[in-house]
Amino acid sequence: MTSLSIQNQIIDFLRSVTGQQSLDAGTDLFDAGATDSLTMMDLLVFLETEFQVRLEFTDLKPEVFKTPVTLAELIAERMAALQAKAA
Amino acid sequence: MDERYLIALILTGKPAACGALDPARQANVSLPVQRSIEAAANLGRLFVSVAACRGAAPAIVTNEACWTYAELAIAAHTVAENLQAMHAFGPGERVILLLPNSAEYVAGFYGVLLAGGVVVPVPPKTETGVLQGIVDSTDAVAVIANLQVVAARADMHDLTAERIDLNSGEISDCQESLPHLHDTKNDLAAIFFTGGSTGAPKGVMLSHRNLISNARSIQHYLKITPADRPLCVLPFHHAFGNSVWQSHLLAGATVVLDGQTAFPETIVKALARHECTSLSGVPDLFRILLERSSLGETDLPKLRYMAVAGGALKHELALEVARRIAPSEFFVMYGQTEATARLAYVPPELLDQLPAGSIGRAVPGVDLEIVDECDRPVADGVVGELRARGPGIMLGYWRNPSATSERIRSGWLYTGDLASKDGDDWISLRGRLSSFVKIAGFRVDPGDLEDFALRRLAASQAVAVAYESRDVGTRLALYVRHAVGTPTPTPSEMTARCRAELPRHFVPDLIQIVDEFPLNHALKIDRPLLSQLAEATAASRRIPA
Repeated sequence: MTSLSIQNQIIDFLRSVTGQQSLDAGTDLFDAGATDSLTMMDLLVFLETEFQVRLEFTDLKPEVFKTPVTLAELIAERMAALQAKAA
Repeated sequence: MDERYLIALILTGKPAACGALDPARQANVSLPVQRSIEAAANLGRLFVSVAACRGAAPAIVTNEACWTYAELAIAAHTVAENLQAMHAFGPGERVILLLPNSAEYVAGFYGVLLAGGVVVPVPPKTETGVLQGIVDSTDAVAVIANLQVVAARADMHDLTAERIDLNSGEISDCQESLPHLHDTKNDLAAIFFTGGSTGAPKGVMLSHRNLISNARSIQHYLKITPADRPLCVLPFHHAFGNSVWQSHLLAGATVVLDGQTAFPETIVKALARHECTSLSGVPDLFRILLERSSLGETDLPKLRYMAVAGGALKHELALEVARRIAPSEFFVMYGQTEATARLAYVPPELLDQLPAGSIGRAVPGVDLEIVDECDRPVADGVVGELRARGPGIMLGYWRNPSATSERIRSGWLYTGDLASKDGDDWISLRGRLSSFVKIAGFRVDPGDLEDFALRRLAASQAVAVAYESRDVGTRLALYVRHAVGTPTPTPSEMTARCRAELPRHFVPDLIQIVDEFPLNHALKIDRPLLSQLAEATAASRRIPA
């Protein structure tokens, strides 16, 4: 899975949860209100379920959850690491 | 928003570092105010008396700024003066406080009280319709905000705005311009709005006496001193958050504002960086701290205690927090907005000896009693309704005497919680009489979601239940039945509609279509069973950690 398709899935998810159709790859998630505790927990569960990765507390940083782009980069990195391990 | 009578007061200006203010002016703050704390019957004046004693000591510390007590008192006076200069303002008038956790919030809060007004704290991201409802119901004359809040809210752009520079005030000038405040003890000081989903939110009216007595009680049982440095992450506009900053500022302590609840590790880091002595939070916060932070590994030598309230934290999780932060203590507390905040707490040393659901004993100054339907105290072990009496019990609900008389009878606040006590007077919660549940700190009545399902989701019957999700805490599940032969939306269509039309905390995590509902022995819908089903369904959707 490419970082771009991950990014698009994250955007779709966030649009549906926040109801903000204007949300895109560069949207600041804090400004969009996506970092309130409810949305944040939903987002974590979505990421871990959808992409089968486990995010550690050290991953939960404002700079990682800044935009869909930064978030997708982390997920892609984690998935690549898992594949390398499996191989 | 309707801008005819409403004026926006926009607070600007903040000190960069502690003591940025001219030392002569900081010293000045102690001259004109009453030093006697007991004589200060107005909460705003009480704060100014504390500020007079604490002068150049830090009151509020953030990563960017530090406000001394003197600076904060001057800022509050500046707000008060500006309010009094307004034609529409007079004693007892309501002023909306629309600010995030900040020194500006505190200056606005005490400023309104110093001017003799009534403060109405409202979350800065409140939907326009809800805010308009609160403005209308309180006949508010002004909204206090800052530049960021105004920039983010299209509904404020048309209001007549006035800027207030918080650093411009002179303490010695404004004393004389303050109105003569008679004994304000039982006067209304603040209205905290709670709940409010599909119906109108209810405004809990708290007096100066309510707020002062609750702060005193908290200071006593948590042994708060000027040396304390609490990390405040709870929203100030919430009764619990209010009680935390208020009890500390009235004790001359230093309130620390840092860390983001969405990123649990930032909270642990903030506790360490600012050498904080305490952290208070809701159950969700402690659950995510346990799951997703270095709590217990990061050294926190200055930490005295952590405290949870605002809902039930599972007993095993409470024990786990206590274990990880030992020798610091963990307080499990119980309260209600209608009681200003705190009602009971579990002494930390007894946490592992008392049963799950225990709320311990009443905080100082509060009487708790468990009574049957005829208001007679029940015997040990018998379940009844918990009622509370004391100086923290609210004056009532704003302009809602019928709701008030449902909750307050003969001076007792009926909590709506079922409880029992053991032979040693330790109290345990045993369920609720009223149906509301707490979701992410919001009071939610599942009945409101059921009404929505009937109106907007084409359901012929709907049952909403709360369930515990291991990952995300308390959430709602909605079970709907559609009449035969009618077009039925799919669960995902229903979810989309809920998201589009309901406040965030009302949106169910799980929607399922059923042909019939399970019944219990009394042939009523078996809600506990549905709750268990929801928990199992939610768990099956997760990958193992």
